[in-house]
Order: sequence, then structure tokens, then C-alpha cells
Amino acid sequence: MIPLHTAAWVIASVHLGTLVRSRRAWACAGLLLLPALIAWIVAGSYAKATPSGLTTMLGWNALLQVSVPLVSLLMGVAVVAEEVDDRTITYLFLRPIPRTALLYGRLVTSVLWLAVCAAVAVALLVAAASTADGSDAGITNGVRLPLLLAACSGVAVYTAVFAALGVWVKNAMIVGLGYTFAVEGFLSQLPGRNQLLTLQHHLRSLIAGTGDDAWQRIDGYGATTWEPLGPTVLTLASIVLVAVLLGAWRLQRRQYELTS
Amino acid sequence: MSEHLVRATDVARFYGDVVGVCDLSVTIPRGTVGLLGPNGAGKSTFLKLLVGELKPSRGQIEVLGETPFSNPRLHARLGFCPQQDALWEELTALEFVEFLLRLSGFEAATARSKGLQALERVQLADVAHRRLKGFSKGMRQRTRIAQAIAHQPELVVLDEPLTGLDPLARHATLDLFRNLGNEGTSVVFSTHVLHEVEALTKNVVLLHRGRLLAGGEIAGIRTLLDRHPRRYTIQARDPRLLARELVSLDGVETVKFSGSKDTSVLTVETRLPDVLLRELPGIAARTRAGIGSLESRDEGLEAVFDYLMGGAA
Repeated sequence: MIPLHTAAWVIASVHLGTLVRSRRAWACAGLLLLPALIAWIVAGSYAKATPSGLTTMLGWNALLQVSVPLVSLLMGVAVVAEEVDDRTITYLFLRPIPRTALLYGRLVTSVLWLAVCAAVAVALLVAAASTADGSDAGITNGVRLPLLLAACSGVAVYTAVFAALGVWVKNAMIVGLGYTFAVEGFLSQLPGRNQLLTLQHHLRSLIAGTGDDAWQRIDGYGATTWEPLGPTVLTLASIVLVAVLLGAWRLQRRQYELTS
Repeated sequence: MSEHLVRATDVARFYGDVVGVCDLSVTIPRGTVGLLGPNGAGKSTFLKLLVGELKPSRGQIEVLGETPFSNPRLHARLGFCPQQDALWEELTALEFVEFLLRLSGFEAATARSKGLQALERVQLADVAHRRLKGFSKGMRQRTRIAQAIAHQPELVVLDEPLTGLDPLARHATLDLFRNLGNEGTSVVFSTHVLHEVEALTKNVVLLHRGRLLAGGEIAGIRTLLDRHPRRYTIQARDPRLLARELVSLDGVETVKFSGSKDTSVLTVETRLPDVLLRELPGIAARTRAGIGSLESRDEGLEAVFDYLMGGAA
């Protein structure tokens, strides 16, 4: 049997080549760049817009709450499901490799692509917001770096969760949309510590743990109890690990009934 | 080394309420074996069970002495050409075969040279660097065959491998399978086209409605036909005279006319072929019907298939 890391590496390298030529990958890149586009439009049309204000508002609400989960859903669900839908999974499952190499290999390239796109999106958002005329303290590293960290961590965590979901559930896209925009939204509105059950809360805790006062202008920021940085990182890493292991366990046993 | 290629014991596979295969017990020897049956007979399901893409709902299946499902040890020893027309469209033919060779454990350089060799064997070497999305149906089929044979497996399993091939490619592909057999590779392939099986092997497994109809050598299967009438075609100058005598013979069930006036052909179905063959010379002499030829379709696979299908229907 071919070692897991070798098989995953071969799959990842071929997948990266096909991924960058796929419409899905570029659609995701476009969605991640939307906040930057909005920032550029607002910066040019709204006199009171400030660089720091635009970055924090759009980074917090548009990038982290909408774009990151959405692109992660699109890419994560496809990690295994794309091979099933294209009926090419047969070739991979009938080679002397651990089946889980498919999940690991494709997940790594998907996350890599999204992380690069997210980094570029943050850079462009900052650049676009910098053109705003309103005066404030400017975009500091306390704004820029936490947003970058949260966006890149966000695509990794969400993509891993949705990749596992794609292995377990048939209509993973619908379930994922429901989770992201209904369940997380609902839980975040409940009183008490229910926000701990959402990925968003942990991602935003990354910002709260590393960001500066510029983030205080976000509604509810000051009133929320954020998690300390260490436990937040540990929680996010654990979520990734559990999701990947659950996905791998299921993939090892699952049968796919492909039609001709 | 396992004596048998495949040993299936009471294997059943269901898709919800739909039966894929049911109560299938068969032992397939090494060599080239044709899996035959009409559409919906369960051929593809059986092959998917055989290569380990699916698990039996009940029963046991062993291939080369191993349980196939999710078994990398077995997958190193077999190549599979699926029926579905699925490829990674953005890859070139060589990249496609090379990728799968690397997943079979070959180093990049070896995978490349073996990939080229495999594409040469299916006459695709000249388009090895073209993207698969531009390939015709026949070229795509040959690419799928190339990936199945590239790593020189002990067993090659092909699901409807000749579908979509033009006559020349079909001929070349049949030659390829023959050569694989000569090299010691076992080949199991499915088809619903009878003469494709006859062109390659005498070993067949016949499936119908998910059940085993017959298995073994065509000659062996022939003994199963004793309960079915055997069919003979007789070419005669005066078939009416001949027919009058033949219908009164013991065992003769039907006598049918076909052909033109001068060279008419009689088709006789009898349950007692020995009686027919013993009496025919005497009848021919007595009636002076002028028998030109006597042929039995019974040794042809088509006849076997027709008879068994009729019996199973």
C-alpha cells in the first residue's frame, strides 16, 4: 500500500492543477473579493467613510460572516463530492492507497487556495478602504493582522467542517447553507453563552484576542464576552481535527453507487 | 497464489428495493472470462463487487484470494476500466494515466514511461499530450483501458470495454485483450454483444435479472441445454418434402421455412438431436430433397444465450 502522505501529496498536486482552472475556484475568489469591491465603492462615494471604519465593518460583517463561510461551503462540500459527482472517484478508490488520502489531499489544496484568496482579499480590502477620505487613526496592524488571521483560519475551519459534512451527508450544500446562515445566526442571537456553539464566535474571538481598539466600533463588540486567545486557537484546531477524522472515518467505509 | 480468480458465494447486492445481483454463487478460473447478459442483468454490479467498489449486501466474494472492498492489497493487483464515461477533463491523456500510475506506487519518471507505453498499446501515443476534454468517445474509452492496464496488473476487469469503439479500434482492442491473456494477465470483461465474447474466450458467465444463468466453458454450458430444443438449419433443394418427413420424427418440435425458392432453408428444433441426426440421411435418400448443408447453431454462444434466456424468461 502506498503511504498516506505520498498518496495525499500526489492527489494534492494534481488537484491543485485542476483546481486553479476550475470555475468554482475563481467564483470563490470573486466572492472573497466582494468586500474589497464594496469598500472601494463606499470609499469613493461616502464622505464620512474612514479607512479603519470601512476595514473593520466590512471585514467583520461581509468578509468573516458571509464570504468566508460561503466560499468554504462551496469548496469544502466539493472536496469529496466533486469526485463522486464526476464519477471519477472509482479510479482513486481502486488504487492501492488509503481512501482518506483523497480527503486529506484535496482538503489541503482547497484550503491553500482559499487561504491565498482570503489573504489577497484582506490586502485589497485594506487597500480599497485606505482610499476613503474620512480621517481616523488609519489602518493599523491591530486591524490588518487580526483580520488576516481570522479570514485564513476561517476558511480552514469552515472548509474542514464542510468537507466532512460532504462525506457524511448527501445534500451537504443545503445542510451547510442552513447551518451557516440559519443555525449560526440563530445561536448568536440567543442569550448566555450559546455563541460558543458557533464557529463565528471563535473566529471573532481571534480578532478580539489580537486586535486593537479600532474594533470597538463594531456593534455589540464591547458587550460580548470573547474567549481568550489560547483556548480559541485550541478550540479551532480541535474542530478541524475532529471534522477531518470524522470525515476520514466515514470515507474509509462509505460505498458510492455510481451510475453509468 | 489463489487458484481461482473469483469465488462468489450466495452474493446479493441490493440498491434499496432494486436487486442488483441475487444469490450469485460462481467460481471463475484464471484466464479470460466474458461476463454476458442483457442490459440490467447485473453485470456492472457484479464487476463493482468484484473490484471492491461495492460491498455485497449479503454473501461473500473473494478475488485473488482477497476480500475486495476497500482492500489496497488487492487493488495493487488489479486494473479496472469502468463503464462510466468519467475522466478528469482538464488533464492530458498522459497526465491522467501517469497520475493513476503514481497512485499505484510508481515514481514520477517510471509512471511517465509506463503511461506512454500503455497509451501506445491503445494507439493513443500520438495524442498523449492532448487534453481529455477534446477526446472522442472512442478515444476516451481507450484512455480508460490504458489506465487499467498501465501498471501491468494480475487481473484486468473491464466493464463494456468495446462500447463506443469504431470497428478498427474494436479489432485492435480485442487483439490487445488477447495479448494480455497470452502474457498471463487474467481478463474479466462484460458485454451484451455475443460475438465479442466468442472472439475472445470460451469461458463465460451468463447473468440474467441479477441471477446466474450459467457459468463455465461454453461446451460445459452446452450440457445445460439438454432440456431445451436444439436448433438445426438444413439447406435443401426441396424443403417441403423434407419437412413433411421431419415433423413426424420423435422429438421434433418445430420446422420452419426460410430462404428463397431455389435455396430454401429449414430450421428444425428438436429435443432429440440424436434421432434427427440418425434418421436424416435415410430421409434425404428417400425423399431426394437434395440436402446442401446441415448446421447446428448450438455451439455458437448466441444459441446458448438465446436458449438460456428463453428458459429463464
